[in-house]
Amino acid sequence: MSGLARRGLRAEWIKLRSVRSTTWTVLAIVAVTVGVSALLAAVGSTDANKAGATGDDDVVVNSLRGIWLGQVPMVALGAIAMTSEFATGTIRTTFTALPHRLNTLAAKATAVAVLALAVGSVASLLSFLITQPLLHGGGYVGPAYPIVSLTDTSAIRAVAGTAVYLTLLALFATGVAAIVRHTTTATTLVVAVFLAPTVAMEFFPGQLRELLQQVAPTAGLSIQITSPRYDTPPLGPWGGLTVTAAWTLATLLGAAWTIGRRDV
Amino acid sequence: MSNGARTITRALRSEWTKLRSVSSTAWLLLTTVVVTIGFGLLVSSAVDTSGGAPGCVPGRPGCGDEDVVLNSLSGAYLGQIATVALGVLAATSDYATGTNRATFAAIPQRSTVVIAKSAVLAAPVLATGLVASAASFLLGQPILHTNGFVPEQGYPLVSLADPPVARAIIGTALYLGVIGVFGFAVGTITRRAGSAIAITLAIVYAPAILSLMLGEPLRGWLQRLSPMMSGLAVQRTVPRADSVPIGTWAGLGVAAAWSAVALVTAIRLVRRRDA
Repeated sequence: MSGLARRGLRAEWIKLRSVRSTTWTVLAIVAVTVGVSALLAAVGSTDANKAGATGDDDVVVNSLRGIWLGQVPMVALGAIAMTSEFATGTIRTTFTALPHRLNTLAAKATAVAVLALAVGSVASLLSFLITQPLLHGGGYVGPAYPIVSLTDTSAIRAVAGTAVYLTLLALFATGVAAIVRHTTTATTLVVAVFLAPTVAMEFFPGQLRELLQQVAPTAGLSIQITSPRYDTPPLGPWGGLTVTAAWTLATLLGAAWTIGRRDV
Repeated sequence: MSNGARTITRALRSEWTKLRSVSSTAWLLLTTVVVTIGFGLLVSSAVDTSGGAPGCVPGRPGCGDEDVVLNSLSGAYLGQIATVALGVLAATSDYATGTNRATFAAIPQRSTVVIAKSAVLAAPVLATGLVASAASFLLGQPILHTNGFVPEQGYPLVSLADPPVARAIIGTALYLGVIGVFGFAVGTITRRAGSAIAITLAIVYAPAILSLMLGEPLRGWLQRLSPMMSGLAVQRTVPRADSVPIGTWAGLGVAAAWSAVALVTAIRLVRRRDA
């Protein structure tokens, strides 16, 4: 790593970890994801566990449902990492000290990615570990629902993939924030793009809805699926995650394009 | 005019000036209308009659269970994002600029200020919400007809004069007013626009998304609790198997309860906190 890149990364890491909002959003991501996953597992039950019958619920997906709410503070984390400097005006100092703006953008994105991956992994892993026993208690037992553990490759893929999905989401927010430069606008746009379409899609007829589900930024959550059922998107776990990654890449490219062309 | 009434009039007038003189207000109201109508038309163009019970005889009961009124008004599910942003900003802009100190110095009755703010917010949201939902309905119906939603297929013509239709349209406008005030209350509580919008949209959308992944009776309960799923039940004119299990007005009542609780909390906090 060149000296310039290292200096940029160190500076951005200090900025990210030393603001209070980072602590709050990190706590919220873990608490909300684990809390909602556990709550839904604790109150839910199944009646598809008759002997010999194959249950079609996905116990791995069911243990990670809190992600739908936990992604909201993750958006805030990714957005604030970028917009706080525009709000306070520190961005002028930053660009004076390190005039290579793409370097700063890359450093900020790296700092966000590292933190998001770490927090996302904790949230996802805790959700899985806490929720599995609760699901057993709710009737998800053999033979329809054999016990899954972290030694199963599909379970590992789901848990690690959820962390990767959350990281991509945080980076998407960082990219949008670099383009719009306001926390409010960035948060509104990202939350709108990640939550609203899932509800809106329900109004469309089957085939169109299936298509929309596969091109939406939330397509990446298909990485959680371990047992295919009638409503499983045909793109597959990795295909879905690639769609989310494409959305993230597009906003980061947009950010790289705009950040060098504006006054600060 | 009594002192109290004069304070209220002053608070209403000053808050109205603050709200209408920032450009974001007009833009967000316009966005609510455009997105609501636009998405409503998109859904009206996309839906087809195949959603009815399979193998049914056209015109017979049980055939044609799509709700043509609800489909044409579905844009509110997306348009409300701009309404929420408007409500939040109506609360937080005073704190962002520090004007709140001048406001509270001029009108020390803080609860009057908060109520005046929510009233001047609700009025334009209700008015534009009514325009958006009436236009969505009127523009959407002809599109639905050409998509096969005709009396021969079990879909009788509906008009603004039908009581359920009028209720759905007025109810949609009321819902937007209620959700705008909810955003306003959350904004008053957090005093930061970013966090307020994130929290409000999470409460609005996340229970609805999670309910899609749950079985009964959990799904029904989560939908009854969700301000959006319950509140927009007011659009329903045809009961279906997958309808939110709550009455039309009772549903709007749930959304109103969320707003009321948030607003009362906001007023208590504003009275207790330092400006």
